[in-house]
Amino acid sequence: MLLLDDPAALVDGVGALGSRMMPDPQDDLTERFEAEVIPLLDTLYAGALRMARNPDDASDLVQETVERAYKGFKSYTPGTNLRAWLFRIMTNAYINIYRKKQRQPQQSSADEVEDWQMHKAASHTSAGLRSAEVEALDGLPDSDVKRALSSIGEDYRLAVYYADVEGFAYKEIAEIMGTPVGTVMSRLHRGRKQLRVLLEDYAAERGLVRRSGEES
Amino acid sequence: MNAGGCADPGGCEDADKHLYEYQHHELTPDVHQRIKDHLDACGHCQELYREEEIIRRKVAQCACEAAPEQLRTRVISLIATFRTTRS
Repeated sequence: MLLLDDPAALVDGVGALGSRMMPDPQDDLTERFEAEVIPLLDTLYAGALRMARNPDDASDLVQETVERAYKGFKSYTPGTNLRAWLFRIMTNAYINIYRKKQRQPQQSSADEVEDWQMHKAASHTSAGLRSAEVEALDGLPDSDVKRALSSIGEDYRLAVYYADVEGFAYKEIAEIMGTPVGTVMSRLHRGRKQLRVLLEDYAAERGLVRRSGEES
Repeated sequence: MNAGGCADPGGCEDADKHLYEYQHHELTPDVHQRIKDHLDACGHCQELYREEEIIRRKVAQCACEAAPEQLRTRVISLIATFRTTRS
């Protein structure tokens, strides 16, 4: 929002480019945009899937992100984190377009899920872990991990995605999500705790590990 | 959080609280070292941490889908229109 919506930044961008570039700065900008953004398509699509959650909407979201990014590209500072900048645009696009459509009916049910999960997480931790559990988690198929990831609340899922898949620093995630760093930390904490409970459940369902408290 | 009779239950709580920040290298050097020392000394927390490392790796592995070829084509032609329609 900061970069995109600031007309002064856009004007500055043009000025800086205009003085440095020779005949056609627009062509050069487009070349640079293509060269830098196309290699990030897989990343953008994977991120979009964490938001839109079906391939068609995710593809549309990526396209929308690319359009918006191009319009604001003059205000992007070369050498800064382009991925983070693009995800910030994607987040705004997602909120503007898709979340409005949904009207967030899932929010309350997500909170309910969270409460019993947190309770469970607490009892899990205090019950202690068996060493076999580490190997059991390792043996879970990707489909289970994806299922777990899509089951947790959206804000948690995205925080986990940005930290664990994209490897963004908390400060960058805060900028992308438009929240204070403390909120990022609590989303990550809750998201990861919930993921762990779900994954342990799946491991138990698959007979990879006994549930805590079960007799041997 | 104390389980398995750790000699430093306060340290277990401390580690549990900061585990993700530790994992993501977001702690100041002294706090990072404090958590590391605890993990080195406490089998239970070390086990928890190993588990969290696996969860992190599994998540990273599963959540990196390739963009469909159709999307790639769409984006490339979209950029081509940027070239022809000057803003």
